[in-house]
Amino acid sequence: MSKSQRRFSLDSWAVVLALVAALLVRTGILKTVPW
Amino acid sequence: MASSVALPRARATSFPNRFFGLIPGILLLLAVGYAGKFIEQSIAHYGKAHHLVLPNIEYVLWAILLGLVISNTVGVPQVFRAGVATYEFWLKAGIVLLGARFLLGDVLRLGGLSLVLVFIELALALTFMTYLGRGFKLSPKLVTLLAVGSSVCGVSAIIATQGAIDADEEDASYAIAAILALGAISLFLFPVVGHALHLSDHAYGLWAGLAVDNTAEATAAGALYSDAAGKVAVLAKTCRNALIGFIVLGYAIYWAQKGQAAEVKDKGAFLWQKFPKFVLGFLLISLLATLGVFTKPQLTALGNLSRWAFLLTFAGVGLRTNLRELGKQGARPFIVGAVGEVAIALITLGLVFGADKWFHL
Repeated sequence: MSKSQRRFSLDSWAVVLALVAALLVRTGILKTVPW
Repeated sequence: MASSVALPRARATSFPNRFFGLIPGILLLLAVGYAGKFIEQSIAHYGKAHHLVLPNIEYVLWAILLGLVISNTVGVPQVFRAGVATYEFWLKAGIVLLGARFLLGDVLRLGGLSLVLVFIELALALTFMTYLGRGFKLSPKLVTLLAVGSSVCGVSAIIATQGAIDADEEDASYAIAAILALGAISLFLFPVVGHALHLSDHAYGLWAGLAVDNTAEATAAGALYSDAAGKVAVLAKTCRNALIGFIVLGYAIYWAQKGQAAEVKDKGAFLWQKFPKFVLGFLLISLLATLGVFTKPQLTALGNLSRWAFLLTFAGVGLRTNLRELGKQGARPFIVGAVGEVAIALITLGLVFGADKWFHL
């Protein structure tokens, strides 16, 4: 498998960002998100 | 991520350069998206203050229209382009976060039904597009790209297939232009048709998710109808996206057997590489929400984060659509795409009516 294939795809980074956001909400660091 | 005909990706050298190069464009996405939200709220406040019944035009439409105006008048300056191209990144993050608003049981029930409809849609759409493209005497690989683009998931599918079947850059460019132009048209037409047919939120969302090509456009077409329709559209579209690897693998094997593409050695690795990982993220968040990991206010917060991510996406849909660039790509691929899109829209509408009758959506 080439280096570029091993590298995290943008798709995966989007998942990581969303999971980190969910963790921040779950732990209470991010309490409210206004809309 | 799907690139765009209108906005080629900027090339930066080092990571800090690339990272900081994204900031102006992301701020532009935020400004355009927020302006759309501001216009929606201002109209609502004005109507309330003056006791007027004004049409409620969602921020989604305003954000797309503002983006379209900028892109097609002054244009998007180079400094913003790399950041604007991140709109699909925000779309995928938004879809993962949207998982919090679905119970896993709903995902499995509606997703299962969507998957069945997606299989039927794929079989009919791929066959129809293939014969249509041949009838118009388009090059065989361009026909493959148009078929995949219109039946699976738009630009992402075309780019994934182009690499797998060794298609020409020019063919991919034609197919992408046709799919983007048709996606922009669908975005505005679908809600009008949905309202004219008095479709329920679920039925309309399912239709938009099954028929509109690009994930961003499908999400926007759903959200333009209603919040509930937007959720269902995303779920149905995600089911379509999940099958991208299998379709691309099928075409890669077909063209390799003809000696016109490289052989796929490790099919498992190929499928994993092409599989959209945000589908897994969406299911994971939905599972966590179903298990009660989040409280009600936390679910609201996650839903709102998802909305902010979609706000950036909708601004990007407008900003990346340059009608002049799309018009330069030639009529025949566009005509084939347009005829195919109408046929797919009708086929999927029939499927949705059938599903509505049997399963009461």
